[in-house]
Amino acid sequence: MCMIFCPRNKFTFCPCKKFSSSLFECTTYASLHSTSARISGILSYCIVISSYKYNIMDIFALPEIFLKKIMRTLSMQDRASIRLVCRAFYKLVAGTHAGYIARGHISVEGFGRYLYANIGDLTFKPESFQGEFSECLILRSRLFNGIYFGTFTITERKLHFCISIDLFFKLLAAHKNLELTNVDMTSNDLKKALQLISAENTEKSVCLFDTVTQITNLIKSCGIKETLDDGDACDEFMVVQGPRRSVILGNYEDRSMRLRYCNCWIHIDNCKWEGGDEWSTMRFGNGEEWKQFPIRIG
Amino acid sequence: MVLITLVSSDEQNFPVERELLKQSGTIETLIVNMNLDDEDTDAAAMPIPLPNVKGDVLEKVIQWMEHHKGDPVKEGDNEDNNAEIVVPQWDDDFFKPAMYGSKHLELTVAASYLDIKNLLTLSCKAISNTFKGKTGPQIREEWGVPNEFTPEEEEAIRKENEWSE
Repeated sequence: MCMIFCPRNKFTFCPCKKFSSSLFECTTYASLHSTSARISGILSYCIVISSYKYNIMDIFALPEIFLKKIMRTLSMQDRASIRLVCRAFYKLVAGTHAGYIARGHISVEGFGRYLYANIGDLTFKPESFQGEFSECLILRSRLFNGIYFGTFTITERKLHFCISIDLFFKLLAAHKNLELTNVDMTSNDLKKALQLISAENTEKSVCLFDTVTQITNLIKSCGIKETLDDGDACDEFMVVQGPRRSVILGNYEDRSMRLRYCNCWIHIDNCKWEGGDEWSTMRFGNGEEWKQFPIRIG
Repeated sequence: MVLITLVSSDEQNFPVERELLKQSGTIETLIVNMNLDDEDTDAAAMPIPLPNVKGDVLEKVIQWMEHHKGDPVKEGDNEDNNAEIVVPQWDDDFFKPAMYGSKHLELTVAASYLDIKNLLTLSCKAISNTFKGKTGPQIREEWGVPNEFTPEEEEAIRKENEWSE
């Protein structure tokens, strides 16, 4: 009477915590303690519990679409925990598009020795990776292969570590919005990325953080020069608005620059032709980003 | 008050207020296609068969729709941030008695078949709430799932999970 039947696994078990897993354990316990007065109390408890859980739902009988829906309503912490339930959940968490997460973030700290990673509400301990960036990505892949990030960010402020162009293109293919520091990129790589984004049907954007020298050298290598005026074209690039000098003093009033390439907008916030070690940001994408960077008048 | 009759797979008839059925995309489409809203149509004489929903499940669905009468009908399938969905107390009490039973599964499937988005979302969220803050073994015990992992596999997953906080 204290057993219940699991329709999926075709086995019976006792739901009470005393007999935690199998029919064998339960009967063995009962036979060993049959003279005990306590057993009748335990069995009564089991009957109550088993009637409550009788005809237990086989959760895996739900079509996968429902399981995915259920996954989407779970926090990342809970998704990590349910990997320990059974293989079906382990695979479901890792291998399906289980849901949208607004932000994924990896940062390199401590002179390049530690990687800090966040996936939604889940924070990975920095000592886990010991600077092995690929290890971090492998783990992320194994845990949550199908997660869709609103924005995926990799930051490395001290420049101890460089994101290879192969990794950049993998990340570009996988994410809608990327924020990356210190990408090892040539003019051809930039053009390739702009062409890929231009060909996308959905909105996609990239934000690259690097030193002024690196960003300026990158656009110079694409043929963009200080002498180009607004509206001038160079290869497939067009200068929409270059940095602005004061007419009277001759100094720069505004260092930002806007370009276009195919269907992409490009925005550089600190374009110093002479270079510099301070930070600069280069954004490009195919969406309505112009709304965020309104055209200057004058 | 216009009543529409729903017929379950086991041939039980359920006269339901027309207004309630706006929550079900499937029934709403049938009502439009069968012109049941026309003044000239005798809606009572044209029951809607629902061959995929049993009577006891349909009764629960109607009970849920009655409580949620007048609620805005959810459009589309935008579930980007539904980890933050909160199951209201009434719905929690509604789902709880059948939570671990096959009836809840049937209710979830019926919500999908009848295209009642709010019911489906809340039903799935109620299931996922049973996992909230629990360990793998606790969930296994509650849901009657055997442990398929070898001790080594379990330890490896545990170690990976320890990396997160």
